[in-house]
Amino acid sequence: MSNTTIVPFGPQHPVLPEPIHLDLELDDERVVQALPSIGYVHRGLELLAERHDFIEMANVAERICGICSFIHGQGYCQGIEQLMGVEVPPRAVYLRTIWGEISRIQSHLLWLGLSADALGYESLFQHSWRIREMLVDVIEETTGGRVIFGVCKVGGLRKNVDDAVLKAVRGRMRDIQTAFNEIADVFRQDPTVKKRTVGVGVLTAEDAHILGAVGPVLRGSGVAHDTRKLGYAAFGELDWEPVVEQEGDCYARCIVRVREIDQSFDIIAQCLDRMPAGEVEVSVKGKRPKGEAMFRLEQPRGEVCYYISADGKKNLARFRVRTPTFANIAPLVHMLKGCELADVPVIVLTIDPCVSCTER
Amino acid sequence: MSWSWFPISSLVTKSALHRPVTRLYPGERRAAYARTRGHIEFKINDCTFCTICAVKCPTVAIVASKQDKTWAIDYSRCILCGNCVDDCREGCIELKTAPWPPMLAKEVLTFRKDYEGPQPPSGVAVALPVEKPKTS
Amino acid sequence: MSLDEPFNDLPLADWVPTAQRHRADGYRLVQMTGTARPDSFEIMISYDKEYRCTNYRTQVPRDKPDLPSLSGIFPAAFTYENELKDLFGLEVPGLTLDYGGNFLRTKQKIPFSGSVTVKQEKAKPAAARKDAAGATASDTPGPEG
Repeated sequence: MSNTTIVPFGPQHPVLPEPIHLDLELDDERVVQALPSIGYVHRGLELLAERHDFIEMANVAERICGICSFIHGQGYCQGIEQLMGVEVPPRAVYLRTIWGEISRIQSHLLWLGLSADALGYESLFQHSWRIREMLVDVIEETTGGRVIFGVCKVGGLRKNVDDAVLKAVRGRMRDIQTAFNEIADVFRQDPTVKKRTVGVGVLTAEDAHILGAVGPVLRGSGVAHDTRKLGYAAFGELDWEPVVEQEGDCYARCIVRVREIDQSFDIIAQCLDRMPAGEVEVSVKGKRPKGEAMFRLEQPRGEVCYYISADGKKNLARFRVRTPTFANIAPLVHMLKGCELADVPVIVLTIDPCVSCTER
Repeated sequence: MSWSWFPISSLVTKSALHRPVTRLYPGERRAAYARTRGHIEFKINDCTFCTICAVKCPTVAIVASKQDKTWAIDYSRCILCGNCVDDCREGCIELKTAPWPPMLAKEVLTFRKDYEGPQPPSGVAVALPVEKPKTS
Repeated sequence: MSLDEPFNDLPLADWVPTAQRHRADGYRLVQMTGTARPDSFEIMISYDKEYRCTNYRTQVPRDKPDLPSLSGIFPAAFTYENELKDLFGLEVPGLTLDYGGNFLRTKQKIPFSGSVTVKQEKAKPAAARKDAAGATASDTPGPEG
């Protein structure tokens, strides 16, 4: 006897910041199978690379995603620099690292707020975003933009940041860290958060590895894989270890993000200590990228892959981005099997879905 | 596993005693930072209409014409990348920190340097027809 | 930073055996992507183990675009294969979860296959139109406030 009902979930749903649709096959209140479908916001940005100048394309690459905008720009520029054989000055490398970590913190704070909202914890949501606002002000002071940083370009950075500003940033990051520690304790200890997340949506380490999970989803399942260990930008010279939690449930993924924020504050402090002096850009005039490269970066949501193929012309032959959410769809489907309908929003949120960058 | 209401209650108490962190927007505004990208300002007087800014603009927001001596910017296209500011040799394009107000329609600002023809010769009395008093 | 990760060419017949070998060796599927070349589709796949990425590529002929599915070996491959199907028009026999070309709802079907001519919108900005000239000012009016 088949007693299943199909409940459509999304693309418009109060907890979903972006459009993803799930067909949930339910047996009573239990999910038997989940069928995801995306594609509501496909923009074809990859095709745009074949029509645009590769220098101008850095602007487009930065607009793939609104939250990890800087890391997309950084990844694109790093790839082109690698193909052209350009060495970026060390100060630019360190500033890129700092901005990458700042955008990681703001992305995780945004996610912590959204997840608190999904748990029905409105006041925690507001507090997370209050702290994020302080961080966005730091971004605006150093780069000039609040969402689109617009500082990364092929060959380095558009503008240098004065040492006086960096000194002020150090003080402000300390204030933000103090403010963050207060809400971090709430996420670590609060019964409301724990009741909704502990033991929900468990993903074992083997499943996470085989299903190709990336980022906090993978590390929350006890696999110490962080693409930053490849040592791109300044990460090879800094002292840090990937954050790992063993349980593999929604709570573990939440705690991974909380601990990663703490770690990012530490990485920023290390970068500020070692900040080299000097120029921030090299001229790439007359150079054209040639060849192909596949390279990976760690975004707040996980590992992102870029594939660039260029044949020495003004336009690229192919630019491909595999964003972390795309890799996390298969683990999501696996996690949803056998969970309660009421837990679906929480589980969907713990992969930190960013559908717009998934579809590019 | 420690379960505790303490962190959130201390946070809530603290914010109850604190003044609001938000601003009453139209009355109270945030001061912009020195580097904030607000909007592009243009001064026509120094412009030589070299059209470099129009070529460098990645979104084709700027259109300049040498013949007509016009310069136009479409604010709905401008992404404030700052290429035109860096490349302007005369320094007549500036990046201002104040944000451009929200637009109700697509706004295109066009500037035109007026044609400078020969100066009219001075001291010419214009002979107006003098109305003679009627004599009957 | 160069990682020295080679691109190995692979005949189409070895596509599935290579995947099985990597699955047995404990590799992780990183990504799959396609590129439209003039006479074939170039499909690239990357496996990763201990931060070391191995890339393989194969050529799928345009007149018979059949790519055997890996979704039975790596369950995560279904998203990539559906994407290849939607963007390049490949046929993927053996796909476990087939959306039938509706995974990505693109306005134009198979837009990346290279044979589609995208309507070239001439970069004619609104600023160039004579009638669109709204305000003619001698200097920039400042923003409000």
